[in-house]
Amino acid sequence: MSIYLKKFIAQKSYEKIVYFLRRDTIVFISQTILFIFLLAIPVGLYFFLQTTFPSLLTSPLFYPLLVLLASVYYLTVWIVFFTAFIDYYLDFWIVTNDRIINVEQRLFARTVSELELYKIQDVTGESKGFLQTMFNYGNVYVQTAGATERFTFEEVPRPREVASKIISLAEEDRKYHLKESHTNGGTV
Amino acid sequence: MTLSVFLIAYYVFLAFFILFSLFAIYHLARFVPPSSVAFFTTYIFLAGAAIVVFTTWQEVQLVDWTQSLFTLNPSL
Repeated sequence: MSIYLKKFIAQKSYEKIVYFLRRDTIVFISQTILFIFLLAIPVGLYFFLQTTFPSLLTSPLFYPLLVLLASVYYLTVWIVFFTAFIDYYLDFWIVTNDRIINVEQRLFARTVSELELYKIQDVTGESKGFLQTMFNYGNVYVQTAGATERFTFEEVPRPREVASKIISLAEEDRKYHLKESHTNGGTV
Repeated sequence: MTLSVFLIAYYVFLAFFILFSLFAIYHLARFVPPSSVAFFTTYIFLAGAAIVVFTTWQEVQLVDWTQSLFTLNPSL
């Protein structure tokens, strides 16, 4: 895990990783089921054509065309599945005892943003819908005091537990910064 | 117009597919530290793509692509 930190952030001497979060595995499993269904569509279509229009499958014009179309379809579904996996695997959130790092991967774009824990004002964990309630995953919203938009951990496991842990970490970090500012005689 | 127009369109698609695949693999290699997950997924992806292309090639290799579309189907 520390290899991720080395790659994305300059880890401070006192910094410890508390959470390394990705979307819940169930999210990827449900995507996989959808892709398996998509891969099965041409097979169903083939049996449909075989029973209703068998001449199409022997036609010197339509047969090569159908084969090429099926190939295009399968390769498209395959690369969409691969990029969905990359999106799942490369999107993650790191919670340390000092800050939150959000790494987001999109096609042709990658965003790394971070948030100091002591700036956090409110953290909400929510599970919406049947699947999220059943498998205990959901979103965690982190609100800061500034005008910056709120941080969202999307579809992470145990959202309420993560939210309460972030609240306690933020409280500890605030105390640390207050103590430090009193020692230095300055402000936070 | 011959049947090969479909094959040319397929080759154009394959070129885009290869480009996207290289980009996706580059992303995985660039942003994920060397791991068995990254290696295994890339391997599965390349193997799956190779199977699809090979099966397609096997199915269409006996097709006479020089045939005219209009001879095959006068209604076109």
